[in-house]
Amino acid sequence: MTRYYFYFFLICMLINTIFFVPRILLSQRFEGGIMAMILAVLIGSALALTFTKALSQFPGQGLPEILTAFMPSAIRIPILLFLGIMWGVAGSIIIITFSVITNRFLSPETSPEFLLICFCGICCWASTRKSSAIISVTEIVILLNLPIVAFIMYKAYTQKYFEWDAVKVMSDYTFKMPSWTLLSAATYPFTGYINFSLYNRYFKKLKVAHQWLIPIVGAAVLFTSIIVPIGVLGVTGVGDYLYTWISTADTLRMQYGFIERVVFLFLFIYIGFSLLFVTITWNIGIQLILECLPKRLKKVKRGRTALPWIVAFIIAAVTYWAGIVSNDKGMIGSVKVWLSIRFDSEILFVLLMVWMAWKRHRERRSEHG
Amino acid sequence: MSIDDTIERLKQSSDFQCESLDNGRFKIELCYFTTLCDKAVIKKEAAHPFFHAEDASEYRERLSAALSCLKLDDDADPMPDLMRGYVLIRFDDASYSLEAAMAGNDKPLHATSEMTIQGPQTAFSEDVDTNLLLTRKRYPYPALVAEKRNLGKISQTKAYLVYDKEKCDPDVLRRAKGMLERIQADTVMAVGQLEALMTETKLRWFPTMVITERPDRVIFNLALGKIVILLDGTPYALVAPAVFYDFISAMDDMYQSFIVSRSLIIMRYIALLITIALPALYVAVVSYNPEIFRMQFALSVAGSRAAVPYPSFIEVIIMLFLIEALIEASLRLPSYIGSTATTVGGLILGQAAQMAGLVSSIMIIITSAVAISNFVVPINTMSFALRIAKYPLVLLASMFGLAGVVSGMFALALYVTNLENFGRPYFRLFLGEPSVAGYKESESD
Repeated sequence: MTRYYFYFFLICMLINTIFFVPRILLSQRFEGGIMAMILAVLIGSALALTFTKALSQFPGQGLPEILTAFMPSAIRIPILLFLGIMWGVAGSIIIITFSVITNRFLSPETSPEFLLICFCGICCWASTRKSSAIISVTEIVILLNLPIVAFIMYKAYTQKYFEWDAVKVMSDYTFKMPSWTLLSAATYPFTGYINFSLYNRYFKKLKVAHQWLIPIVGAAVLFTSIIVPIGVLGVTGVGDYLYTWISTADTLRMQYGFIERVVFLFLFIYIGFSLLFVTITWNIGIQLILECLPKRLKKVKRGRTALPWIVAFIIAAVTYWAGIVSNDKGMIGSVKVWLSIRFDSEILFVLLMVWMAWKRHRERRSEHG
Repeated sequence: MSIDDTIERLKQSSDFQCESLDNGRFKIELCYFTTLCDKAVIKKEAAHPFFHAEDASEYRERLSAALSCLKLDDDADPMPDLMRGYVLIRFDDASYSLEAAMAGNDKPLHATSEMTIQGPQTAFSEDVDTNLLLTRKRYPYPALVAEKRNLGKISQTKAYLVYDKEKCDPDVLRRAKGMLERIQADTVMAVGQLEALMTETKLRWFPTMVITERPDRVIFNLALGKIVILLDGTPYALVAPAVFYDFISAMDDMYQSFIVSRSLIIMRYIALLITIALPALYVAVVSYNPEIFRMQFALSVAGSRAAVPYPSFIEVIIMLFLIEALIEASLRLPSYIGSTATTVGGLILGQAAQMAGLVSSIMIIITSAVAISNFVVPINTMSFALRIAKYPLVLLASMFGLAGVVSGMFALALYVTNLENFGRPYFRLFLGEPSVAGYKESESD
């Protein structure tokens, strides 16, 4: 149980410290980026720990079941629909960005639309699989790739051109008040726990050991995602790159390796991570949206139903359309907006969970006493 | 249908025999298939007592005391019994049926498709009773239950559902019984067919039950709490529910030292990755990203491809088709011609294709690496399933390059994880199977 909790925590951590979060943080590195990270470690861990504690009041129950017990469907359905869409968008952002990255760094000859079709198709299929299978495949992907990630990080920190002075320069800019957008970006990597609001269904009891690892691992990964690009690309130079981490990885080489440029290894791993992340988020999104539909629609024919496919197809189609019309600049703008909405709703969501857990706790006590 | 009608119907066959015997005091009639029955048993159990019997009632007592002899009711249909090698013994007023079936091929065969170096060398036989005997002998435990079934509407093939009552999961057992009940086929010939008949989905790719010819594997699985189906007429047994690891484990793993067997298992998984992904990686690297390799190697790949006029995926498909055809041909051919096929194939796939500029020399190495790695998989059905797996990846590679290969591998992993077998997971990193031979460790959480 504990290990699955950390898999989801890690996948969110690893994905988001590569794509937008470092870019947003680095673009405002002199205007409170460092402070935002320090605060994010505190806020993110606090939210994660509170949520986990609250959820442990509901063993084996997913969010739809929990909400049903506490509120009428008029409130429940908008909440579920909103959360379902948020989850869907979380995956879509990654998939669009990643198709651009793949196009730019791995196969410049293939058109980004074509790659987007490939990724959307596979994620559409993957997200309609059984949740238990997705949880297990998370374990496989994470455990197979984590050693390689650790190797790349080791390579990054120990490389000759790593400039610790550049990192020290950044400490001058620590005590600046960050903006809300910065804070919401910096807390995003800690959000992995939130997947358990649905996947809690598959675990008899949410009991997470070693919760102290959350702030420590979180801080380590978050700071690495900022320190390494700054150390490698320079304090001012780091602002010139769009996909900071891919460019950072491209500075590494394996002298005796079969593959010489580390960036390819990095890209392979991150294709896997991205597909996994999108599969997880879309799978949760689909299930949350399906919970809003009336029961009579959900007729099951011979053990299978077309509804998840339809929802998945709609999400994939919208993603594809968004991927075609969006450009890089529009993307980062809308991601900033999305991140702020996410942060606000995450805080509200955790508070809602705490309220429901408190109510459940009181019910239990009055039953016993 | 009365007994007389049945006999009239069966008399059309020339191997069906009805003999009247007379010992001077009373008469009986024996009806049986000469081809199915063992004459020695008939002589010993039916003819000899008849010769010594004083009158009909004494003979009846003898028959009632004989092994596996049943009195038939007047309206009973003796047909199914007769077809399975029983002898019908008729008096004026009553009938008995006596089992006198001739055993088929009941010698344990040599293990041919699952070899071990230092494990047991004999496999199952083609006779199901002998197989049950072999199983019981190696698993002398009272909880071992064998339930008899007759499968197939016409063939009525004898089968035993064998399980350890204390260890096996009652839910799995219930499902297995239900699956056997639902079998509608006319004839059941082999366990592979039985597996197909038992699984509900028609679109099957990966095997979900182990087909094995090794008694040691069967008892190992019985001890794990799995269900074994023994079928008459085939030297193979069906083990269910299986997990992915079962197909990658050879029995030798348990007979070797810890470090040796672990290294071999790791080697097998590397081989598995090679056989699945290597052709696709070749296509993706050569056609999309030659810059992945270091310069010298990329140049030597390009140099070896200099004479090849068409894109890499056509090259891969030509070679893969040839090697698959060669494997298939050497499988089906009589062994006299088989050596010709391998010689001719070896020549073509070896030097000639490369000299003619049809394929690059690196492609030949890749093809042989793929084929050899495929043979490493210990269970045959899995190695067949894995042979298919490389083609979707080649397709993805030729369309999307390396991104397609990685996505394909992800999808394949998810596909296998999504498979369910008797309501249990099929592929997990940590399955938590109990350890019975010191081989698999249990994983508790």
